[in-house]
Amino acid sequence: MKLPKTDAVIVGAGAAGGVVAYELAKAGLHVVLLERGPRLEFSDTGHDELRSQRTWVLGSAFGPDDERHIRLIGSGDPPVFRRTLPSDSGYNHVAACVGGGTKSYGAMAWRFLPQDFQMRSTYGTVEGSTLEDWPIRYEELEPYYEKAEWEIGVSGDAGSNHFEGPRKKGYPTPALPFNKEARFLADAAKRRGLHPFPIPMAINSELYAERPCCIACPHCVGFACEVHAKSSTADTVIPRAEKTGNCELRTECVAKEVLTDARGRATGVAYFQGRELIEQPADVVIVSCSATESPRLLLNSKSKLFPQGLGNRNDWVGRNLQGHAYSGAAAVFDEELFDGTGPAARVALCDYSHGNQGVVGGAMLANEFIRLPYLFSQRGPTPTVGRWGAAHKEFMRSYYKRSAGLKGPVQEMPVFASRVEVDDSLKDYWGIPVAKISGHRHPQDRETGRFLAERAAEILKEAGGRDISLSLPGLGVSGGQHQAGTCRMGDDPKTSVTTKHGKLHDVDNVFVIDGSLHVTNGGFNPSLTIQALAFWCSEYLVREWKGTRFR
Amino acid sequence: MDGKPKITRRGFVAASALAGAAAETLGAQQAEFFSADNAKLAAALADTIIPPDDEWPGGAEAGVVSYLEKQLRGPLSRFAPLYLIGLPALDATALRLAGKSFPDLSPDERTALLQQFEKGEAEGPEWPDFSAQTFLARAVEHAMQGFYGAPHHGGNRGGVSWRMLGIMDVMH
Repeated sequence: MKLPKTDAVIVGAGAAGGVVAYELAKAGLHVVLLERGPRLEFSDTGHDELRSQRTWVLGSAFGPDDERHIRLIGSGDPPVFRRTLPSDSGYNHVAACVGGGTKSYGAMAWRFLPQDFQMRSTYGTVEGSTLEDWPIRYEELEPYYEKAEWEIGVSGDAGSNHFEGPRKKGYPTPALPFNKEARFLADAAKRRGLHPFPIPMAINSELYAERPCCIACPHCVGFACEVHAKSSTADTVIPRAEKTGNCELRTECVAKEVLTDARGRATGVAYFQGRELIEQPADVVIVSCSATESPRLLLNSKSKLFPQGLGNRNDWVGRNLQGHAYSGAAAVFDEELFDGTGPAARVALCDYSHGNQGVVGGAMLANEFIRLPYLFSQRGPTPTVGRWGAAHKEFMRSYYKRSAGLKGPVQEMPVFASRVEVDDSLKDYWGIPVAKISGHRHPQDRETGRFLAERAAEILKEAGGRDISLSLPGLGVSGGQHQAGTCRMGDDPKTSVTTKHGKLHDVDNVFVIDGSLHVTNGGFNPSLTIQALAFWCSEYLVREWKGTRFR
Repeated sequence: MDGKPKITRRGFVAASALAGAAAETLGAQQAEFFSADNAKLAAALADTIIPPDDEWPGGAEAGVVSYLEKQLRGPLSRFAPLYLIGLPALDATALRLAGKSFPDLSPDERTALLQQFEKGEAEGPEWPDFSAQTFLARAVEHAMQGFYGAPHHGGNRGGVSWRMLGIMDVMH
C-alpha cells in the first residue's frame, strides 16, 4: 500500500528521533514518526527485575521480543556467528518502544568534555584504532546541550563539575539530593583531593514542564518512571511534537528499506505494519534507529545506484561499533549505606576522564544505581564467597545493604573491524536480512579500564571498604545500550558516512541522526549528547528545508 | 529412579521434543512439568544452592521449583531439555560418586557433590550432551531468579527473600 506523501519520515522514536520529530513539526513540516515498538504505560512494565532493561532473563518488557528479532553475533577471530535472541547475552540490546532507551534508562544527562570531541588532537594516533576528532567542537555543540537540558528537563548543579567545558546557562531544576551512599563516597573522594559532584539527571527534582518531581523510589535504571518524573522523550518532546498537529506517530511499524529513485534521491520508506508492507513517500528521510539498526536499515537499502547499501560507497556504514568498556571496583563496608532512595547513582567525579598517565582517555566514575536483588546475587558477592550455597546466602543477607561500588563508562578506541553487517542468509520475522555483529575491543580499552578500576578501588578503600574487587572489560565486540559510532560524521566522505549535520555524503535527502554519528563515544552515558546532536542536526535540516533544498 | 539413564544425542533430541510437547499439551491441562521424581530432585537441588537456615527458608520452600515449573513452559522453555536430562543425570552422578540418590544425601554431602560439579570433577557418562558444570551453572542462575525475582513469576513466596534483605518496603 502506498500512502500520500509527507514532508519527512523519521524511523525510530527514541532519544534522537523524538527530538527530530519535535523540531521539524514545530517548524511546520509534516512528519511521520515510525516506531518498531509500542507506546508503553507504566502498568505494562512495572517494577519487575527479571523483565527489566537490566536483567531481561525472562525477556524485556521494553522489547524487542524474542520471537521476531533474531541477530547473528560473532565471536573469535575469524568470527564464528551464532543465532542470538534479544534475551540472550551479547545481543546488543536496545529497547524497542516509544521513547526507546530513554523510557527505561537511568537518566544520567552528561555533557561530553571538550577533549572528548578532539581525541586525535589530544592523544595522537593510536595504532589499530580509527581514533579521530569530531567534525564539530564542544563550543559548537554547547548551545544545543543547553537546549537539550531545558527541553528534555535535566536537574543538576551547574559549575559543580570542576572539569566541565564552559556553559552559558544553568540547569532548569536543582540537583537531586545526595543519598547516604553518595555522601559517604563523596567525603572519601574529597579526602583524596578529588572533585565529587552530583550527577546531572534527566529526572525532575521539582515540578517542571508540567511533570512532577521525583518521588525518590529506587527504580530508575531498567524501569519506566511511574510518575513520569524521568525525562523520557516519550514524556517530553514526542507528545509536544504530536501537539503541534504536524506529527503522526505510528507504532509497531518495522522499517524495511529507504526507497530511492533513478537519480539517487530518497523517495520514502517501506515498512511493515503487522505483515502488511506499506510505502510512505517523503521529501526527507531521517534514520534514528541507534547504532545497530540504523546501519542495518542503510545496508538493507540496496539499489542499482547503491549496490552496497545507502551511504556505503566507501564501506564505512556499520564500522567502528563502540559502546563503553565499563570498569570499576566494588567493596563491602561495616556500615549500612543503603537507604532505599533513588536514583541511587548520585555522585560522580571527572578527575580521571582525561590526562591519565600512560593511558588514552578515561571515564567519569560514579556510584551505582540500586542493586537489584537477582543481579546482585550474580555480581555482588566477592570471589571468596562463591556463587551459591550457605555462604552466598549469608553474604546476601549481611552485605546487600553494606556494599558499594564505583565504576565508569571507559571511552573506547574505535576499531574499524568492529562492525554491523547484514546477512542475506538469515531473515527476521518480516523477511528482512538480520543484523550481523562482529569485532573486538581495542587492547588499550583494557589498560584504561584497569587504570580506572584501580582509582575506584583507592576511593573505596579510603571510605573504609574491604574485600575490594575490580571489574575489568572483556575484549569481545562492544556496543550494548550505549552503542554508537557506526555511521560516523566527518568532513571527508572517504572516511565518514555523513556530514557534520548527519546528512549522508552520498544522498542529499537522507539523514542519520542518533548515536551512530559519534566519532568517539566519550567517557559518559551518551543520551544527552545524542539529543544535543539531534537538536543541532534538526536546526540545519529545517534551515535547508526553508531554502526548499529537499523539494 | 534406578540410576544409569543412557543419554545419547538421540535422547537429547527426544527430550527436546518432549519438552516442546510438554509445553503445549501439559500447559493446556495444567499438569506438572516435572515428574514426581524430577520435582524431588529439583527441590533437593534448590535447597543445596540456597540452603534453609534457622531464620529463612531455602530455595525449595521459597518456591524455586514452582518458578521453574512456570518459566520452563514459558520464556525459559529453551532450558527444558537441560532439566529433563540434567536432573536424572544429577541423580545418577550422585549414585556414582557418593553412593546414594541425590535427595537421600545429607545437606553437607550434596554441597560437596555440587562443589565437584562446579570444579569440573563430576563429568562422566551421565553427561554426553552438556557438562555437569554447565548444568550447575544454569541451575544456579535459575534458582537465584526464582528466589530473588518477583513473586508473580512463581518463586520468592510471599516476598521472602526481599524480607530477608530488608527491602520489602521498596520492592513494590
